[in-house]
Amino acid sequence: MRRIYHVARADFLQRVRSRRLLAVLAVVAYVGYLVNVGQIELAYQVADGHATTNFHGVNTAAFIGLKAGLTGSAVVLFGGFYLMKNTLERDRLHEVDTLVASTSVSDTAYLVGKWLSNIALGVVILLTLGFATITNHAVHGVGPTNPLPLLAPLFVLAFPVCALVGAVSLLFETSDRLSGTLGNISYLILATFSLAGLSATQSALPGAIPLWARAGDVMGHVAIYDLTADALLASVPDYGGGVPSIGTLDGDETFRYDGGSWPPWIYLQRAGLVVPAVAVVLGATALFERTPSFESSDGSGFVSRIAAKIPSVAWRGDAVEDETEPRSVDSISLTSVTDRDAGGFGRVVLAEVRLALRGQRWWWYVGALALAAGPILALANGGSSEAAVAPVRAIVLPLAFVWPIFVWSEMGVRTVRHRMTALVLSSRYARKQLVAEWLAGVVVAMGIGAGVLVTFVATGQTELLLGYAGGVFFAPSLAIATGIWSRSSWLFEVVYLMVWYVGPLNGAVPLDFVGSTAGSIERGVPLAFVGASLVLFGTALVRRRAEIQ
Amino acid sequence: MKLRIEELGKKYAEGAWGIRDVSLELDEGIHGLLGPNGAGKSTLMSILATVMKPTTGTAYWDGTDIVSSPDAVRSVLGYLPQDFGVYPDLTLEEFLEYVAALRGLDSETASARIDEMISLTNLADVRNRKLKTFSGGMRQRVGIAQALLNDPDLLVVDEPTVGLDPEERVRLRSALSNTASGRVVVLSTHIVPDVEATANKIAILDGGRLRTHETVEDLVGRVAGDVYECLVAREQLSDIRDRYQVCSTVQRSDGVEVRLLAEAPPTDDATHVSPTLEDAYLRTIERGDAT
Repeated sequence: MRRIYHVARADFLQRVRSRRLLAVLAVVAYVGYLVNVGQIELAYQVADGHATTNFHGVNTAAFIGLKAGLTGSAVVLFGGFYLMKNTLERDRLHEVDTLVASTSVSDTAYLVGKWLSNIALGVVILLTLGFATITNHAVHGVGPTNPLPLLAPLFVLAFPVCALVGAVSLLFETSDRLSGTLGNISYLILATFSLAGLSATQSALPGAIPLWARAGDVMGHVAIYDLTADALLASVPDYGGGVPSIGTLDGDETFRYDGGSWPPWIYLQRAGLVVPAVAVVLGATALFERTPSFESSDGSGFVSRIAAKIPSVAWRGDAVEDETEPRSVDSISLTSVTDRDAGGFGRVVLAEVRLALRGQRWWWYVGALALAAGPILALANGGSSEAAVAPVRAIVLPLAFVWPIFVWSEMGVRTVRHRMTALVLSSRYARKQLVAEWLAGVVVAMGIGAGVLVTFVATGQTELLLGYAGGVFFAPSLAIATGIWSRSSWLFEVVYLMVWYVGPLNGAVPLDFVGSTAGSIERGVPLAFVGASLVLFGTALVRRRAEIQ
Repeated sequence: MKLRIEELGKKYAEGAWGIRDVSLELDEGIHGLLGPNGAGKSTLMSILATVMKPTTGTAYWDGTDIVSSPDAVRSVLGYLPQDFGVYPDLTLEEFLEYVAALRGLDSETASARIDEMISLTNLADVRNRKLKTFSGGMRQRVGIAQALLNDPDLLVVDEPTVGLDPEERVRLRSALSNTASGRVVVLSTHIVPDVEATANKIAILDGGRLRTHETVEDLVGRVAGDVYECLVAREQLSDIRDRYQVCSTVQRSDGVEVRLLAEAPPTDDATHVSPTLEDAYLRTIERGDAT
């Protein structure tokens, strides 16, 4: 236990002493303010034909506490993962993993310590939210500011989410394939999917909600529904059922919830979430590789496995040492360099493209090739213009502008990640390097979207090129701006995936920056995103300028 | 070619000074920068390489202020940071091509210099290997190759021999000595023999302040006549350490052979020996200045 405590303590202290955490907590405190002033609202939505009426509670301490609880769950579920998922990476970066590997600390003790540190980080987030909730309720709330009903729901609802998310983030870190961009994307899908069980609560009053839906309630929607249903039904007797929603919902009508005792099943259900969390941590122990990796190929990849089957092809992935007799230093004549300002920008761009495309897994290249060439092959096989364009616009276009996310997510952070910052910043072309990196992202986008481009041009649908331009410029610009400012890639991955999911994939016109919907092109949405891209890229240049100076 | 440093100081966010009031004039040749851990060597190197801004003072490269006009020195700079990385999925040759482009070399010159640097650092056999397959010592040689790639007028190398085996350390010393002509080289290390073998002048930093900057001969001359070797019993060693600055010890079957600094013979059988840079360095650090 002592070892676990010290692993957790050291990790936690390292975390809380970072400025990045302060920025995160400031955002969390702001969210706490929004909860109190009604910008973030917990409301029951009652549909009547095309009109929807939101019924929300009066801002009593009890209701604000529930809102804060659900907000805390949401913040930890969707944001906590990305904050927690660096506990093992940090040890690798600072080479603490080498020290740990040489000690008698067991894998289980090490990972449990890391898990506890993840939970402690979640608790810091909850405490910040709780402090903001109490403070703001004293100013904006209704009735007395009683800390217990304000804080208790926050911890009862959101603490188990901290435990669960902390465990899942640890599991993802221990898996080589899930520790990077693929894991970040997969988690976002997983977190969204974890709320799918709430669909079973539609048109059901609390008593009719099946046991499995209660048990699988990750954020605490069903608990809140159970607690507030009576108060709601007093104001809306004909309410048809369904858990409340949380978000920027305008409150049309109100009901009053003054709290009361919580049924035991809520405590049991919340405590029960810790059980899968423990199981996940134990699962992570099985995947955890104690021996640190040194960025060298371990020969476990697809190519190395194939090469191993062919005796004549040696897989040259192991660490090498040069063996031949070296030339004498005195015998080497050196070319004098007179011109150190001979351009070379094109070569920097080429090198950045090379960097962007290197190191992906084989299936990524196959997918990229299919997206680039597929539409051209389909076009070559004939068919009417409309028949050719429709599937490209609906399917290939959105996919072509999400597939390169593995490339874009490195933008703005690659130099930091590979400790190349000092070399780049001390060079003459530090600014141009950033421009070259951005251009490389644009080139990759253009390349994977080439099939889309050819289809639109060949079929005369030139107005759709606006959407193509939106896709080509927006993602690299967002990536490089968020990367260079945050020095991490998760912010880009989360923001971009959200925008892409809502816009291009689900056809929400205001966010459809690739023009997959007719409304998007008509309203010039991609053009607005091209403008936003330039602003984003400008902010990246501002940051680089500050770094250089 | 001259680098003039005027009252340079760097105060970190925590309030501690990395370096303070450092003034130096560096002419062509190799200038060894010595000091214990935390002396401020890497801070000074980072400022000279224009990747860190000083809090006070400035530095001039051939009369141009490098703090207000960093590009003036970046175009002629070669830099090996203490903590540097590589892009693991590039081959050695591709990586050096990238650095050459960043340093503004044309293709033809870049190609020639890359070949030469690869030979100089003894990496010809692995030029087409990805850098992720390189050992630590090989990566360090990559760092040296990239620092020399643009034939810099100002070469700033921070702990270049870390991780190198003795043979490669000797080779690097030769390479630095051979290429030092016509440029200013600032070589930071805490390995005294590396500096002794290559540097024309030595600057010693301690606690963020400059203790001395003079030729190796002058610095060593300060301890001439003060270096003794004597054989003492093991139980006497603690007492000797309390009374004198001990430079080194060698365990022998009949006791411990001690090399120390003293103004008079420490024992009856103590003998004078020729001073080395290490002796002079220890005296400088012990006394806080060179005088």
